[in-house]
Amino acid sequence: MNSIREKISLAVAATAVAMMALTGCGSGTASTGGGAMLPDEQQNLTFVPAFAVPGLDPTKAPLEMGSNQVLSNVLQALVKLDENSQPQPQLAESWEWTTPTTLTLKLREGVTFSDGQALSSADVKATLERYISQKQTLAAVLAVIESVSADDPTTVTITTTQPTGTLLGVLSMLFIGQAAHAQDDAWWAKPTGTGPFVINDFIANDKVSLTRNEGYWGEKAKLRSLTFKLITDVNAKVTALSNGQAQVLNDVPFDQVATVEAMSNVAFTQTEGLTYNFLWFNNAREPFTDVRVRTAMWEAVDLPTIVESLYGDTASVMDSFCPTSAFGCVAATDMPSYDPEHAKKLLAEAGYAEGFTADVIFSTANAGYDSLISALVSAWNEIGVTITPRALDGATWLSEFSALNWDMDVQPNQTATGDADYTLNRLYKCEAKRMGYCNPELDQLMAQAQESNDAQARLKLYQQVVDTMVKDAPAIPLFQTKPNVAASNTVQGLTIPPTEFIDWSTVYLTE
Amino acid sequence: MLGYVIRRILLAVFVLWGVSTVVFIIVRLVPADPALLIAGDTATADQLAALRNQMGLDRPPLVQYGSFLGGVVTGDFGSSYTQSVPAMQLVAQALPNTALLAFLAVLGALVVSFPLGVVAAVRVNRPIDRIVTTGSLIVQALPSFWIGVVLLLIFSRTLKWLPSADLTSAQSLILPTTVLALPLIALLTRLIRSGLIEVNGEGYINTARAKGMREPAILFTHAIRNALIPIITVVGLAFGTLLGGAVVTETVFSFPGIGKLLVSSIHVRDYSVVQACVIVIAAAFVLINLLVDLLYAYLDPRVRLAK
Repeated sequence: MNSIREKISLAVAATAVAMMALTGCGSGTASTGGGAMLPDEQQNLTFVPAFAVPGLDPTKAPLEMGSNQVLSNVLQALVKLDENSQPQPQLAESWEWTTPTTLTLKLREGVTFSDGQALSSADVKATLERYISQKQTLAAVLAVIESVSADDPTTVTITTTQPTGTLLGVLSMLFIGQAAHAQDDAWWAKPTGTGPFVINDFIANDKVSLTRNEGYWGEKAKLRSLTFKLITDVNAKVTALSNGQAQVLNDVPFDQVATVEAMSNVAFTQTEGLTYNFLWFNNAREPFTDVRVRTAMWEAVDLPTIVESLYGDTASVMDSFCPTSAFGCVAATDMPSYDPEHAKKLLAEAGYAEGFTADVIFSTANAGYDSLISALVSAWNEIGVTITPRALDGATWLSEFSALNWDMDVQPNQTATGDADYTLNRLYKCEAKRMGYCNPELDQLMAQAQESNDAQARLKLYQQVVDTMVKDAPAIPLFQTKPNVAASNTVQGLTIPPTEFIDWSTVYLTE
Repeated sequence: MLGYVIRRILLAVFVLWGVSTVVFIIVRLVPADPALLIAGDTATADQLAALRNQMGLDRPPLVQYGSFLGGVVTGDFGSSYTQSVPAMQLVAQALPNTALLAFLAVLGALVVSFPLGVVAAVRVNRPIDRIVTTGSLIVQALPSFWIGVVLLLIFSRTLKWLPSADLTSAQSLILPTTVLALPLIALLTRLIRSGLIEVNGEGYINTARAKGMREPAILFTHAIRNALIPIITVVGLAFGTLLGGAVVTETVFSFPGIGKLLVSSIHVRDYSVVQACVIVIAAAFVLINLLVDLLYAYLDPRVRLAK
C-alpha cells in the first residue's frame, strides 16, 4: 500500500501534468503535440482501463483482459504478436519446427528479471508446466503440449502430440516467471518479470501501480510510474481525463465519444481489435435444430442499420465468424443479408409459418446490451417470431450459459491468440459441445488448418471453414468493436495493438 | 444501569448472530456457482468438482454453517476466492476509508445544520425559516447518485477544482463527503428546528423566562440541551447507515471503500468477502446503536427507568 506521502506526491505530480495539459497546445490528434519531454520526476501517467484487474497471477486466469493489460508490461512471453497478429521475437530470438511436432526456441541472451536474475530455459520450462498444471481457461489449447525440455540455458524444446501450427500464437499468451517460484502461489500473486515495469502496489479491482524497471535488459521505459486506476462511472471516467487526474482512458462508450472529441486537449483514436460479439443458437433445441430457422433469424435482422445506430463508428458489421484482424478470419463468400421476406418463406418451409416463441439470454455486465437485444427482438417480431429476453447478472448468466439452459445467447468474445483457430476450432468443433452444433466435415477442415504450418494453405482451409459455417448458420456474428483510447495531448508514443495490451514502455509525457 | 447495559449487550450479540445467519443463507440462495465463475465456462466437470472441494462448497450446508459461525466468532471469514488473501484483510483495507468518509460527512452535517436549525427555530415562520425549511426539503428529496454526478460535472469537469475519482489526497474527500452530508444536513436542520420549537413551550422554559433570564441564555443553557437528545439517535444511526450505505457514492467517485468492495464481491459471488463485509457493517451498526442507547440512558434517566 502506498504511503499517504506517496499518494499526495502522486496527486501533486498529476495536478502539475494536468495544468500543463491545459495550458499546452490543443490540436486534437494523437501524433501532434510536439512539446518538450517532461523531466523524469514528472513522467507519471494514470491510465483508466476498460477492464478490472481481479488478480495478477496469469497462470490462474490466463484470459483475464484487465490483468493481461498490466502483466504484459511486467512479464514477457516467448513471442509477441505484431499488428498483423504474426508472432515476433520477444524472450525467444528465433524458433524452428525441427519436426512437425517439435518446436525448438532459442532464448535471447542477456535477459534479466527485474531482481537481476538472468533468464534461463529452466524458467521457461517451469512456467509452461505451471500453466499446464493449473488447468485454467487455456487448458484446452495447452493440451497439445506433450513435454517441455530445457536443453541448454538458452534452448527450449516443446514437443506436441500432433502438428500444431497455432502453437506460437498460444505461446504469445504465456508470461514467463522464475523457475525457483514455479510452485509459489504467493510469488505469482505479485510476480517479478523481465518486462520494462515492476509491480509496486496492487488493490484488486481498483488500482495497480507500476514503476520503471531500472535494470531492464532492453530500452528502458520513459515513464517513471504508471498507474492503472479503474473508474466504472462513465461521467467520472471522462471527467478524470478532462481535469488531468488521468492522462489516458480506454473504452470510451459510444455516447461519450462526442464529449471526448470536443475536449480541446484530448486526442481520440480507435483501431481494429480482436473483440467481437456473437449470437449463438442452441442448435440442439427445437426449432433451432433446423438450419432454415437459423438462417431465417439471421436474415430477419438488419445488422448494418442496428450497429450503425447503436454504436456509430465504434463498431463494424462482420463478414466472417471472427474479427478480420485475426489471422484466418477470412471474409465469407456469401454472407446472409437482411431479407425479411425470404426469412418468412424459410420459416414457412420449416413449418413455422405462424412463427414460434423462444428466449435469448445475455449478461447485464455488458453495457449497452439492453438496446441491442431490444433491436434484435423487434426485428424477429417482424417475421412473426416472439423472443423473450432474459437479462441476467454476470454470475447467473455464466451458470445458465454453461448449463446450455437457453434458446439463444448473445455475448462478447475475443480471438485472444489473433488466430482463427482459437475461436473457430475451440468453439465450433463437435467435441466443444458449446451450442449443440456438430459438423464432422467442418471438424476435419479445422483440424487440418490447426496442424498446418503453411500460412497460405491455412488461409485456403479457413475460407472453406467460414463458407461451411455460413451455410450451417450455427451462430450470427453480430459486430466487432474497435478498441479506442482517449489521451491527453501531452501523451506521446502511444499505440493500441489489436490485443489491446498497450506497450507502455514507449510512452512518455510532454509539456 | 448495569442490568440495562448487560441486556443491551446480549441483545446486540443476538442481532449479530441473526445477521450472520441471514447472510449465510442469502449468499447461498442467490443463483450461480462461484466455482464456475473462477474456473470459467471451459472448465470440465472434474475441474469444477476439485475446485468446489477446495473451496469447501461440496460439504453439507450445516457443516459449512458451523465452520462459518466459528469463523465469525474468531474474525476469520476465510480467503477471498478471487484474490487469494484473507477476506478480513480486504475489509480492513476498505473500512477505514469509508469510516473517514462517514465521520467527515456527519461532522460536516452537524456543523452546517446546527446554526441553520437554530436560526430557523428562533425566527420561526419568518422568511429565513421558510427558506431553510423549503431548502432542506428540496435537498432531502434529491437522490444522492444525481447529486454526485452533478457535483462531479460542475466542480471536477467544468471548474476542474477537485479530483473526480480515487483517494489520493485530502481534496479527494470533498465531493463524496458533500454528497453524503447534504441529505443529512437537511434532516438534522429540520430536527433541530422542530426540537427547539417543541421545548419552547415547556414549563421549564416558561419558568426561566419568568425568572427574567434573557432569551440567548435560555436558548443555550436550557432549550438546546434538551432538544439535542433525539439528535444523538439520528446522528448515531446516520453514521451507521453511512458505513454500509455509501455504496452509490463510492461507486460514482471510485472511492476505495467497503461499499464498493461489497458490490464488486457480490458480482463475482466472492462469498467470504460478501459475508465479511456485511457482518462487519452490521457489527459497526449494532455497536454504534448500543453506544447511542447507553449514552441516551446516561443523558436521560427516564430511558433506563422505563426498561
